[in-house]
Amino acid sequence: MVPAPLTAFCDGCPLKICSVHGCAEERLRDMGLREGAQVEVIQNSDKLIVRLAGCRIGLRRDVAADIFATPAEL
Amino acid sequence: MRVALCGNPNVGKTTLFNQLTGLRQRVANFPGVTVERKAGTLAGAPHVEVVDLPGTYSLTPRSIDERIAYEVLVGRLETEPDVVVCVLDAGNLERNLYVVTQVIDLGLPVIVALNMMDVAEENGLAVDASALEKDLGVPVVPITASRGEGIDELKKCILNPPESAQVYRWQLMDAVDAKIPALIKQLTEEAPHVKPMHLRMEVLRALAEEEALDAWRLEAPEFVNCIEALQEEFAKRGIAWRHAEVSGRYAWIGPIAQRASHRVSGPATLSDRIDAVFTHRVAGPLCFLLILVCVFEAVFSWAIPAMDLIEAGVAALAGGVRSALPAGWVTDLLTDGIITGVGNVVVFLPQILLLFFFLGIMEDSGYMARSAFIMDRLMKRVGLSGGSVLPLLSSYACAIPGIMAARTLDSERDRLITIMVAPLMSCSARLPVYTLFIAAFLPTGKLMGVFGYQGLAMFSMYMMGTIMAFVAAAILKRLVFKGPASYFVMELPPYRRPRLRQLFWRMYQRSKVFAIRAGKIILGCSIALWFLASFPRTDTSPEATQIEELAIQERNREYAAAQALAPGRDLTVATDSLSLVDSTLVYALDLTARADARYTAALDSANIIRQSTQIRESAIGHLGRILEPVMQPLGFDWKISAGLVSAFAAREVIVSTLGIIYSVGDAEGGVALRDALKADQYPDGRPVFTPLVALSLLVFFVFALQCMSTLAIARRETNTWRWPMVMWLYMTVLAYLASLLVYQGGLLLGFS
Repeated sequence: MVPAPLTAFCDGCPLKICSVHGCAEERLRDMGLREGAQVEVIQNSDKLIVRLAGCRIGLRRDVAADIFATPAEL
Repeated sequence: MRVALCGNPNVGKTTLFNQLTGLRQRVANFPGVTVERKAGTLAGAPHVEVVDLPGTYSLTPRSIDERIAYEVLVGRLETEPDVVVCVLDAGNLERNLYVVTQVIDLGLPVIVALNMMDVAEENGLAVDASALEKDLGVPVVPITASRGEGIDELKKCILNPPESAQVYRWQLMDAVDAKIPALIKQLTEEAPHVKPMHLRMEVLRALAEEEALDAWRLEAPEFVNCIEALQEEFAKRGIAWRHAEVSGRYAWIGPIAQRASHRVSGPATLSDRIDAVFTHRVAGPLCFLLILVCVFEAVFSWAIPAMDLIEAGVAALAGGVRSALPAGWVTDLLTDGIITGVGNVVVFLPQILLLFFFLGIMEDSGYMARSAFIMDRLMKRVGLSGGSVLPLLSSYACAIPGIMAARTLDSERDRLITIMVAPLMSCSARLPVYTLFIAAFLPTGKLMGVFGYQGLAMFSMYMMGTIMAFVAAAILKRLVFKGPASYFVMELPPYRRPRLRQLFWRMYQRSKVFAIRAGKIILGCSIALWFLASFPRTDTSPEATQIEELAIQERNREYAAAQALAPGRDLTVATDSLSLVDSTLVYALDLTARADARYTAALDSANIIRQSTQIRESAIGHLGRILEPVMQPLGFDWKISAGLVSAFAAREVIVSTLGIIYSVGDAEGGVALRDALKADQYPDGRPVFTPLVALSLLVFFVFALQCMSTLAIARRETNTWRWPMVMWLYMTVLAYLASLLVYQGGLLLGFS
């Protein structure tokens, strides 16, 4: 499947990150949002909350739009 | 021996630090609150020093915190630690391990403290410490710092530290790895002082991070050239050199983290359910606003009984001292100067305690991070990010911790803007001023029977400062600090129940700081102000003497007239002992009684004139009168101007200044300042303080930067006097103009 930005996925969707871009990319990788990481979108509204391992990370919409992912095969 | 605590933000490093040292300190459930260097000795082993490093996601310097952590670890700020305890959140091994691999690469003996085992369990994760230990090759101690579990084992491990072995366990991509030795050689030649074990890390940092590379430009120009040539070469060959280190480390960490932690049960934790409401796009901001209103309402109304008690206590103390000591200027200084001056500020301690209490609950429960998240959309509009919310909210307590908390911001520009606008957030030092004037000049009723007018007024003072901070930020962003938009990524820690003991401890510590300030600055100022208000002594006041003389003459004349009505009769007898038949006598007695009343009133007003002459002719009176022409358009008389002068160094001083100005020479002592303000009049009988003047003064205090400590801390954080000066100037001009607008506008609209 073609990767889509995180903002395109609905709540509760388990995902695998394919690529990270934008001005925050280094910070995102530091925080663990990097290529290959398994995440789950918990909330997708005017901003996003994703679960990464045991923690929640809040993202501004424009930042989340620079993270591309595909649904993770279960 | 020295131990450094290192790890991601918000993994409980500070809690562990407190457990290890037995020294309780600030703990917050928010990423990046640990910014200061905190040190203590290991409980039970005084020769071991424990240093708490700022929380970092990596040792690549992207914020000041990260640079500081790195510099401590490589011994550039102070001698390098003998052991590093890496604190990990067991709930998020993969990301937490990243910085561990970097510390291991520095060749320091590493102990891993696997913290928050309890939270991980609640989240349905089982973490296998021994599997982790085997894979990492360093000791791993599972702990739950908040409950003190595993601390003894960790202490034992610290006292018998592991050998350091510099083994690179992870694989850098071959194309990059092949170039490293040549770069290391080049760096050794140009910078021989770099310790051999740090060389590889330095090379990787210089390769990946512009800032780290720039640092070598002067010292090792050839090395910088090599790196830049290499970057170009990699770019041509399509090699992702910038991510080489990150991917290499994660390739090693990923499988380790997976082996060590297993998901036991499904997600949807309590935190998620709470977040569904608190971070909802509509409900979230509403909750936030409601919480703020409730906090300010509570701060204002709950504190009143305690404040009344303190006020009564101070008055009783002053009265007691006055009656116990002989009359004289020393007694005056003690009662009117010191006790009243300090008392007028101590009275606000209950409100400050309550404010700290609520801010503490917000921090410890994890709500503060959510508020940053909710507010991000609004902050983005003024060009900041949600990351500035914590510094700005902390500034409600005091601008100093607020300005320091701005260190955690990634963007230097955001940090500067946050520092520049933080003092506009109403701090606790403004609270005494707000309280005094709001309580004195606003009605006590309630709006819709719920929110008191006074609480609402207080809230609007805070809102005014906050809105202006946003406006100032937007203007600064547009005019002074131009550049690309900032980004916002923030970890949302799980909700936790605030621990009351820690909360109260912190309230105690913060209030102690305030009380010591009150003790030092305000005591000093109170004494100085009392002298300024009492000297030079003016014992003669021609005006008052004239009034007295006239009053005596008037009284004598009226007595003579009354005597003429009833010749030969004794007019000193009481009226009721006479028979009412003798109407002329009754009339004459009535005349003398009225003459007596007029006489007493005249003496009182002479006395008041004498007191105000004393203050007007005193040093502070002169100062105030010099300023009066400038301040008159704002509705301020010379007394308020004098108060403003005294508040230059610290805002709350104005309360004690006014207290001293208004109670000097006041024979009864304990007349509440509030009533004295309301009663004060210009010579022509107009009140000095109308509600409009009070409002103008309040607005002045909302915007003005009257705090030496804030200027000093801004100087320290920006490393130049330029920004503090700009800050002071723009805030002073803003305050003056805003007050001018309020007062003159109010007059035009027909208010008084």
